[in-house]
Amino acid sequence: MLCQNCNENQATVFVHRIINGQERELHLCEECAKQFGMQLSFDELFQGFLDGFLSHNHRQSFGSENLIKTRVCDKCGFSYDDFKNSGKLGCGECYKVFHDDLLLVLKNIQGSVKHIGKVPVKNIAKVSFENKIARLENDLRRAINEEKYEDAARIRDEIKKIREAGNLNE
Amino acid sequence: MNSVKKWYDNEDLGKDILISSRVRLARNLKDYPFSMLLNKDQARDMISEIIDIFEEGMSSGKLNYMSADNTSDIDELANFEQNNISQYFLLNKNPKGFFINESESLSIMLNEEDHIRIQSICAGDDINNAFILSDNVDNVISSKIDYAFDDDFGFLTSCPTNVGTGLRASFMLHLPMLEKSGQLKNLVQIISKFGMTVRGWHGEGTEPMGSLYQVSNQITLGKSERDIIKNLRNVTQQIIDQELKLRENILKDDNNKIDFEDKIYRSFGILSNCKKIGTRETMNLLSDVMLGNCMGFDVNKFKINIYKMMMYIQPGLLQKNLGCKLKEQERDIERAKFIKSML
Ligand SMILES: [Zn+2]
Ligand SMILES: [Zn+2]
Repeated sequence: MLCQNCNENQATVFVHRIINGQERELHLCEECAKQFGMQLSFDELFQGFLDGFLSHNHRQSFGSENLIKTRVCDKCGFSYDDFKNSGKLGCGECYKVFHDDLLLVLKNIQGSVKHIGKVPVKNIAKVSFENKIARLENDLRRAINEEKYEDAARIRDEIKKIREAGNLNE
Repeated sequence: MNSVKKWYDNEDLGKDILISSRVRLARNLKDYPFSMLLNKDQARDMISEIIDIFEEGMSSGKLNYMSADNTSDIDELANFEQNNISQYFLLNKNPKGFFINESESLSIMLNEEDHIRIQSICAGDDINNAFILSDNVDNVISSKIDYAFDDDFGFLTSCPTNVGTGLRASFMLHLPMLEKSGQLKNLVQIISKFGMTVRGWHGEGTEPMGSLYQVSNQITLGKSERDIIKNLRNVTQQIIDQELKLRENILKDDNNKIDFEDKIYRSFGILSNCKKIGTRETMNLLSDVMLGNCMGFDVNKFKINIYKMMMYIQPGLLQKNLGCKLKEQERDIERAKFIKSML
């Protein structure tokens, strides 16, 4: 992983900070970490780095240096420290629990934080199922508004049928 | 014994810089923690859930299941040497197993770093077919079971370096001239700026051997499978062009040409006359023969293609085919015998 300050050297030092009440980890090269140790203004040092991923209203002074207590994923018991030490996650849920830290890490190693591409077959089916229901419910409302009650009854039956079929597939 | 043609039973293999195209998809089930945190019972449950799906039917031809319990150490090593399983999988001591089809073009590892690693390989420049092979398996699994998937982060993986598409596409290249000229190191640095990386023959964490290298995408998030493969193709073509340029240069100068020719025929001479030989030396010599063969010299007199030779002289495959465990010294003697038998 590259140093998040100079973006040139390999990051070998991990600095832990509370930024705006949120725990953040900065990966620095020795050079930059040394500079940091020489009491350089934290704001100055990381201004450029932070511009990349924090929105303006989040960019405030860094204040407290205290560690907040380590967060743990309820589902698998993996802690933030586990993630930090292993570079790995414990389960799918961890991606939610450590979401903000992951945004930084992913921005750095992947250059992106948004998946483009394939979706599991089950999810496609779910999306099209929900779309279908939403469309029919829309039709139903319109039919009622237009007082086409025969149409409304037919649509209601159709929705019921699709829902039942959907439940069977679950 | 087994009449099905393997993917590497291809006369043209080893006559080109580009040897094979492969695709790997990393997938995890939603209802289990990632492999690293699974206890033995959970791992067994997870594996049997996936096996059930496969038993219900897979259109991609007959798949054999090799569980860790019924696979010998030598068998496992041989499968690693053929890239059917990864180093991580080989060393994993937890319950594990893998499916493999008869042509060995498709393998599915269960309880690797991720629950499921689908891998497919095709001879030569054929990455689209390799992708289709893995993609089909993926669709069958994901129509029956919930994957760990997030709308923003895509397919969730144990390591964030694989998240998103979970795709690693790669080309196996034979790059002796780039390696020997020292240019490969620069190239690796350049292509890393394009989100690509170069690894040894057996992938992550393994030493290069016989000048075989895997060029693959490093970035898995924020680009579609299609774009990842397209970018990889472009970068790979540049590497191939560089290697070709160096090869052409040798033949331009008559002195260089005779030195070169002399070297590759000597390499073949050692291979066909030695009484004992180690893996690494054999790989270097076979690499020379492969290079000469690629450049139009009639140096290869082996009955099987050189890439297959490279696999079959590996310690695991050598012992597997002989059907017994051997010490290193004995292996070196058997290796020389095997090479001679292929003439
Ligand atoms: Zn730095
Ligand atoms: Zn977790």
